[in-house]
Amino acid sequence: MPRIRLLDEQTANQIAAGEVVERPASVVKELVENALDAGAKRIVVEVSGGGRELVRVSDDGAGMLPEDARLALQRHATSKIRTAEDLSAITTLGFRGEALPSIAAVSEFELITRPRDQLAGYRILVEGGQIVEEGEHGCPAGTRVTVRNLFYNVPARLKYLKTNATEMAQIGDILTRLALASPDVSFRFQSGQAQVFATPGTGDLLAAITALLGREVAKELIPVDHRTDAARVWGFIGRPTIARAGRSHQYFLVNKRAVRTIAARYALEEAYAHLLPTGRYPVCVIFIEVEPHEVDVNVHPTKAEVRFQRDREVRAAVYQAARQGLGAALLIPGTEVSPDGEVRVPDRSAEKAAVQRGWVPPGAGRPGEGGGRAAPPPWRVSAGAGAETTAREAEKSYLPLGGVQAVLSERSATEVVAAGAPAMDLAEAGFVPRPADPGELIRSLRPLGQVHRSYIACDGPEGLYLIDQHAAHERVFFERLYAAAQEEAAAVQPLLFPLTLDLTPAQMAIWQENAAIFAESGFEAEPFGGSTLLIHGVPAGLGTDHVARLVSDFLDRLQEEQVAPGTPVTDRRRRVLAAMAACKAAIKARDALQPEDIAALLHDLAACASPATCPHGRPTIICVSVAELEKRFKR
Amino acid sequence: MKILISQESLNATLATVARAVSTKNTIPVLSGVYLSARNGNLTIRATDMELAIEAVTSCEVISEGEIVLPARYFADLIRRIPYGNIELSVDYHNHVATLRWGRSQYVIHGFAADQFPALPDVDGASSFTVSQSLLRDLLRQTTFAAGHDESKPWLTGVLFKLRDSTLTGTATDGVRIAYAETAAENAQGHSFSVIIPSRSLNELTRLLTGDEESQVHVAVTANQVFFDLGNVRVISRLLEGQYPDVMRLVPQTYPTEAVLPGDEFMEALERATLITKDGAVKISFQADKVTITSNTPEVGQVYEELAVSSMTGDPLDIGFNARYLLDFLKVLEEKQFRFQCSGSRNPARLQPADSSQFLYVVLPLITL
Repeated sequence: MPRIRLLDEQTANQIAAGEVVERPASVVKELVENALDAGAKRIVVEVSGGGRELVRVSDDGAGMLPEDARLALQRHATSKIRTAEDLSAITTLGFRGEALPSIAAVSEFELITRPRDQLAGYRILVEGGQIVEEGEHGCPAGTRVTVRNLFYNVPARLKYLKTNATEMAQIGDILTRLALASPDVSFRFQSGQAQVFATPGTGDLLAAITALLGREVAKELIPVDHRTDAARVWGFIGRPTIARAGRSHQYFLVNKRAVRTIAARYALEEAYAHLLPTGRYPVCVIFIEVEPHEVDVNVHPTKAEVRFQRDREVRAAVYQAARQGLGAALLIPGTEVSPDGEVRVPDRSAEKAAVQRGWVPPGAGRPGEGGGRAAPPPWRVSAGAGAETTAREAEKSYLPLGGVQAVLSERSATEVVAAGAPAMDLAEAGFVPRPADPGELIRSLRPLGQVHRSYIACDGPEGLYLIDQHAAHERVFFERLYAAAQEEAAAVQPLLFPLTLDLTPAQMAIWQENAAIFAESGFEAEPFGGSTLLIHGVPAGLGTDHVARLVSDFLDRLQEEQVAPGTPVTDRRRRVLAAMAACKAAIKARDALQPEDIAALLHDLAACASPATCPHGRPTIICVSVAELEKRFKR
Repeated sequence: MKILISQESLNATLATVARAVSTKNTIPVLSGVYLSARNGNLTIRATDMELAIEAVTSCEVISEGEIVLPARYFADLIRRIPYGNIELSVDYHNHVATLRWGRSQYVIHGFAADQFPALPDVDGASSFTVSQSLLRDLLRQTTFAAGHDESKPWLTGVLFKLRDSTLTGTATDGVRIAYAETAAENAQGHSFSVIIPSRSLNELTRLLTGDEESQVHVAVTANQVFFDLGNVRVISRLLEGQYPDVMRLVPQTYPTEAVLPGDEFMEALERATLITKDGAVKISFQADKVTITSNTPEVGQVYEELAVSSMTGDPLDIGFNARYLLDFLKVLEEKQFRFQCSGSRNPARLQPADSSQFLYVVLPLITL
């Protein structure tokens, strides 16, 4: 008897489902992508039981004729490509024709569809891949796909699903990405009875971001737009103040497809180098537009990752876009810059009006009004303390799903849709930062005194400015060290007797790896035996007092930063010098400063290239606006 | 306890000991000064457990006793009281001191005297005697060069060695060495070497008079040193650790040697440091002159030229951190000093032109 047989259709579909339909979120993704490809302008996603019980996606798209609908349930049936050549220039989201049959094979599946020009719709009911019922059906134009009891016939898969909350978080994440990619489509996402979010679908990206990521994030975004012949990169990047502990708030949309792209991510993070503390990642919603044939989306079964043909150029474009955005923005938390480039007290009246119209989610406060961070999206709240959840987010996790947050955002979102969602005027809201030199601003400050031996208080154009003495020193030292490293002649102060420093093997490895950089900054040292470092000379002007502590401190810091072995030397140098500066500044921390010391520090800081942050990205200066002060004093 | 004392002497005595008052608030009683009235004398003492200063002044003791009063309130108040007699009486029931003068009366809450640490015992100490002014010179010429790196505590002090009738002091921070010696009266022929914290020595220097007749009796035990100045005693903990044999690092031969005017050289250096980065200067020894130059990108350039009193040996260009040279010049008493170099990478030696009792060794800067 022959042992090898062709699998029957049913089994083949179940296997294919394993690749395409991993979990409820993939069902949502496939169905929404189909809706988008069908030209829908309004998509409603309803989910219950973490997507296990029900996933329903309704759209107002093109709809299908009965025969098309039947065909769509067969593998490799698609309207999106016709020939293999089309594969190399894909403009639609789906194309393999695997999604519907795969989903239908592992669920109780109902497809109701009607093209706009047909009077009657058609309904097909499928169970475990077999059509059990079909016929004409009255329905609105568009398509509605209902998936119940997902994986009911694939217990192995069912077993590996996570908790409802986790699956909901995944669905929320996928939908956020899809909705961001299509700001011109109105998305409504409903979990049971509660609405999680709704985007206006007006085509205004910022309005979509506000609805999806919250007003707090939207407020702190910097628009970017950069075009090269390889790609156009545009969208928004977050100010360093709203950086996150993870990369989950980085949205890259390549040709409107939400994807992971390591190339773009690296380029973005490189642009933020030394504006962010280690372990903090920038927030972004970045669209990358390239020629369809220059991007390969077919590298991953769920199309989650893409590859660029002109990888290097795309990277450069992302980097440039982000640098330009960051360079133009005045990165002092609390300040906003008017379109004419002047720093001004933000006019809150437009905002208040917007709140009254109900279009700004009231859950999102201003900094200082209950936490400087954006409230996490509701599904994240319910997902509870994920690995990256900070203490602050954890504080908020007492809010149950469908709690206050959900209620608030639901109300606001329905009103958004009802009111036709007025597009937000970027300029009016003060979102467009213009080149304004932070150095100029710092120079214009009038120092008032020192707070707690840690902060310098100043009077300035917008209110009260507070400067973190330690961060400011760090920035000043860093730029000095950096400049010195560029100079030819670093002077070494030799020591009468070498300092011995016992290092851990890891510290020693870091020393050896960066020996050339230490040498060019004026450290003369050599390993002495296994774990001992002999320091013969130190950079001139460093003084001899804290050398051992300094060296050991900054080796620790470099170890924490985990500079990867392959890091290019320029980046590595920057990090080594940043570590040195931090450790030097740590020695000066909490020094009592005389007025002339304060003036000197401000002067030095103003002369820095990036005075607003320390080399690790913490802010050196923050602003408490007059409005904020008035509010606190209840005036 | 009840005494009558003049504002002047109480204020002066308090000022003498106040520098030893602990500024760390770990042990509350150490933020106070200890007062003891006995035999027509008032003894005031303060300590931070590393350094103790005790001063004695005469007063009218009506009844004997002790009290500890918070240094901050007490000293500040006494300073502002007008000249005249002050009556200080203590109520032991609740450790409260009452101060009366003129028509004023103040009450200050204190601590029980037995909470205050007793002074260490001087028994079994090796002792010697040295003139106050000579000791003061030795301290001024050495203490400044001590290090501040707490990871090498022994370098934060000055190494004192007594042998026969010579007392020497050595201090180094790893870049320069200051060494001075002076004559001491060592009747018992003791010989020892101890490391004394430079902070204690700075306070001692402040209290020493320039009077050559006055003597200091110094007593050294295993872990304390006592300086008895007559009506003031300074007691310091000693630093532990192996002091490096730094004089061994000093070159024996100097192919380049110049004798230079101290004040002029110092003024030139002080000007130069104004526009140099981190004080880096280049000194060129030439046949008939010495120049100081420095070039700081984006700031400016320095050129100073000095006539030399004498110059022997090879011409040399050598870099220094001007701060290290200035430290020496500031404590130089003589008009002229000898500047000796042994190549541009080896330690240079500076000392008064006509004396070998004070010498200073400093490492040059090496420009990569």
